[in-house]
Amino acid sequence: MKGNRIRRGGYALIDVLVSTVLLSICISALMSLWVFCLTRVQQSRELTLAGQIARAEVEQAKVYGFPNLPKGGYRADRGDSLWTGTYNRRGNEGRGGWSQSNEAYYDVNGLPCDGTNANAMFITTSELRDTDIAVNEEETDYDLALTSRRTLIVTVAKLSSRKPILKMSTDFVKGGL
Amino acid sequence: MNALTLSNHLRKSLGLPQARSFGGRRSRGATLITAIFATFGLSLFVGSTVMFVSSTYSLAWSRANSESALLLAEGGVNRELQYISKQMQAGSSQKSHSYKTLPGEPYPGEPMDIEGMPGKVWVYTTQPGSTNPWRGHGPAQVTCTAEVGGKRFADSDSGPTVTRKLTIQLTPSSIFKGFALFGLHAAGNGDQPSIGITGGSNVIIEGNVGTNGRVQGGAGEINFDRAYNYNARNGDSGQFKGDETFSYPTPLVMPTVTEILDNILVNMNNGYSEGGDAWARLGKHNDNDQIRQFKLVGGSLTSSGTQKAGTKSPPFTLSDSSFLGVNPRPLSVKRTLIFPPGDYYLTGLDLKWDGTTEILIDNAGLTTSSGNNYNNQQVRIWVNGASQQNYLNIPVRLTNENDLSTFRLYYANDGSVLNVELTSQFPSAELYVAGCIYAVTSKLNPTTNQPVDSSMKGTQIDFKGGSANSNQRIVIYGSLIADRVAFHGLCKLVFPSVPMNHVDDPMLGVGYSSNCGAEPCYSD
Repeated sequence: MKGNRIRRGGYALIDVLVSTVLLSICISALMSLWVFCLTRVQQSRELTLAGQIARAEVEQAKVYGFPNLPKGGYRADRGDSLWTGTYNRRGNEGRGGWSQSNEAYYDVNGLPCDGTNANAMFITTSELRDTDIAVNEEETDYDLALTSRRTLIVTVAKLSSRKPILKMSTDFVKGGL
Repeated sequence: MNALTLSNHLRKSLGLPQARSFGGRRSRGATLITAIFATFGLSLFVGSTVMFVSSTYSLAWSRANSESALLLAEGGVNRELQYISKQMQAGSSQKSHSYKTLPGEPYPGEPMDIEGMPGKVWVYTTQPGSTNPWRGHGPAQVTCTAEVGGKRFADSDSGPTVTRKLTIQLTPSSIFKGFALFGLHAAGNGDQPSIGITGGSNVIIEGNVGTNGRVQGGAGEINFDRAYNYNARNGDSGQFKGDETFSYPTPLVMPTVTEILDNILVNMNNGYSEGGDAWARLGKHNDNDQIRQFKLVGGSLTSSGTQKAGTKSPPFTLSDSSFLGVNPRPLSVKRTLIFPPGDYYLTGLDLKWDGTTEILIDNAGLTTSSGNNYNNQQVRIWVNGASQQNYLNIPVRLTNENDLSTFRLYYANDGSVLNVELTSQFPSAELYVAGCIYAVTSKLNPTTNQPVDSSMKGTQIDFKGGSANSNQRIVIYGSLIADRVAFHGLCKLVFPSVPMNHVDDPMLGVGYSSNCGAEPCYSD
């Protein structure tokens, strides 16, 4: 009887030990997964907001239309032009406007803000490439021709890492969509 | 008791220790089993959460890529519009990208990469509702498939592949719909102005006026609603001026009359091949023998009230002598030649006789056997012959002036002048010419600003109105497009508000009319 009691006590101890090990392994794995889930939730939110910010910038470009978007610098080696900047909703005394070589900042809710704002989370930049352009005789400047094409690429990146989250692009032509 | 028994059965079946046996044999492994169940439960919960979160993340990518693909598809359609415009300017036989799937490509159409974007588009243009190629004529359907993300763009983290397809239909706008007057001759291409005015008489243009070149004024002025200075890249100061003036750096390139005829013949599906000898074809297949005159007795503007005028099929010069023996219009002294819907091939116009002759364009089809023009067929007069002075000094009227879409005069006598002159035969009356006149033989290369074919000299239309009062002027009711136009005396061009668009007309361009603003619309 005594021996049996001793064996039963040993079983209980082994039970507890194995259970503890098992639960430890499981909980640590689950914690990793939990962290993964939290990261994914955060990324999903960032992605959704970044998509909305990029789409808004492209739509803003559509409002300006083919002839009214800013002109870039002529690149003789490529025969095209490139403008980089962004649409700054807070610029131009609050009326908004395209700012060359600048970046626009958006907060955690996707609203425009200053780069110094503690809640600033996103940064946008736009590239506008003009092709099939009418270059002047000195090959220093150009005008848009009736058959020119303007390609806009909007990049939304995370402010902290400056790593691009996503890009959106469209083309503009005279009389186009 | 029963509940306890059942409970123990349940516990047994689940491998759990019996309820009454705490500290007994059956309690062995209880902690471990509980831990296993707890682990299992937690795993299920977290697994579900992971799946949900992953789906949400994937959905977020799909949503973003879907919007991105739609924007790319819109851009792809615009790329095709640009391609069509460029091909049109170049007079290329390939009008658009066709419906075909290239080797290694997943979708039909011309594949286009977008530099710097994890996306690609495939675009083609067809006739509406089919996969037949569009031949630069009539309505078109542009389809663009855009793909964003996925393995095709493995160099970037761009989410799952999303494809969007966008199809739009275009109704091209007639080249005659943009301007009351356009002079195509480019500045720098010789000294001649594209639009010139001599003397002190004003020219009134009720509509848009445009030019690729210089506008040379005399003491008189050209009054217009809106003016468009094309080819103004070097700040040409010799063009239109005023508040309602708009400038574009590059020229507006329009096709030659020969190119237009070629395109029309191709689309007749009568066996003619693109780029063939269009004039030879027209010489053999035309409606010259369908020109009619009024019957001497019982003449009326019907099939039975008119008869064939006796003209023959081979191309000929329409001259004063063509009216010899032509019966006068009832209740009028005017000898009238009637042109029912069809294609007429003339080598020249030499009409300077007097005020008792006139041309009646039966665009209403009143003199056809059906008595109408339900098919909306055009009356097209093609003039192509030797370089010589041509004259159109007699009135041209339409049987339906509420439809300017169905009469076109295409003038291709290169290097010659078409005179429209108010002679002494019209002592106190306007010389009235209705219809759209197109006289372009010298096509511009928009890059070099020089003629594509240096042997072509272009056409000129000279208007010689009176100078005394407004009754002594020439009135053009329609649209006039020529290489060069010169005004000498009083003249008025009226751009009508009646329909001008016709499916057989050359296109002004391709695009959309929703946001034309101050510009001529490219489509309806």
